[in-house]
Amino acid sequence: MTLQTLAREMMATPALAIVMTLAAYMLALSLYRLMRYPSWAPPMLTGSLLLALFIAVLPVDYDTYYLDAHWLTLLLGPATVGLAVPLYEQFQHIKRLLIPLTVSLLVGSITACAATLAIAWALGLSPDILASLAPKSITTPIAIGVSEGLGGYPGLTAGIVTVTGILAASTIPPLALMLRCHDPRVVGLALGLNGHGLGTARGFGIDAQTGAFASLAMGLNGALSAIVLPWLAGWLGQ
Amino acid sequence: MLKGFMWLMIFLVIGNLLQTVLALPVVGSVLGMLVLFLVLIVRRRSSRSMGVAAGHLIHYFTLLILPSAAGLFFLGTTLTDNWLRLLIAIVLGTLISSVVTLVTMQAMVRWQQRRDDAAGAS
Repeated sequence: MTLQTLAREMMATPALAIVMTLAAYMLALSLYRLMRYPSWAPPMLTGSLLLALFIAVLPVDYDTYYLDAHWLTLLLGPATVGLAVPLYEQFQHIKRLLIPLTVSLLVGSITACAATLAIAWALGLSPDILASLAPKSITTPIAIGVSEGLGGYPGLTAGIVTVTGILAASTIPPLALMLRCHDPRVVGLALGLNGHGLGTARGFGIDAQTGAFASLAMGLNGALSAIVLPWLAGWLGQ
Repeated sequence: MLKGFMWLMIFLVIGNLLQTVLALPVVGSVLGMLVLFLVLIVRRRSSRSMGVAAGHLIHYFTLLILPSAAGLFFLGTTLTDNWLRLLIAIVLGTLISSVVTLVTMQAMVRWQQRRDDAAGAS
């Protein structure tokens, strides 16, 4: 039996694909702990690198692996739906700041998408790349959903979202100092809206209120962008 | 846990139905999330069972996304031909929107403060 046929036999059931994914995830988590939680190397980045390495080393191709890994990615559906519950619970605490939050969210959400798309378009990037780029500031599961809906590449979007998160988490605190924004609600909102989960983690590293506002901004931005983006992207695509 | 999971799946099915029937460019899971969010707002009460199920699933988001995320390294020329322009768009776009968000929220918080002060003084 050749290695190729053996690999094909092994990929006939999803077991190997799931083991590869779990192993990459666990290794990434251990590395993250070992390196004392570096914000520039979240488990999402190291994990996908390790997984890509496994796929490259083993005699399997990405498409076959991805098909088998469906047993795991299927759960992304109910997990994304479930984001509504913490979002609703956060939503309860902000009634007093409803107008500032709504205005800032609308302005920030549209700028996050439109500024990037305008630059990318001016640089001559193609529509499928623009579709992958549009949801760059949204939390990854929603971003992948939006990207797929617009005809983008889910893998590219996941990478773009991770890079954006790392960038926003590391640049917003110094930017806020330069602009003399010391209010934790302002810094928190900017971190969550532009840097989704990674920005929110950075927010909780500053203090609890910054983190709470970041996580609220992340959730509301995800929900809002899911409605606005397809419409905005369609309009920009004209 | 299982009851909450069933309800999340029901909202996922509702989202999928909406996507198909209305031919929307957003996947069913995101539509399901929006519908559930609206239902919770109208009901004015969170759901314990759905909260527990959602908590477990959300805890493993990174794991569930890894198969898609690894796709980044198998895009071939789509990535190698475009990575520099992509990076420029991401860096500039993120800086612009970060500054805009900070300035807008700062101005809005001050506006709210003045409004509250005026309401308190009258």
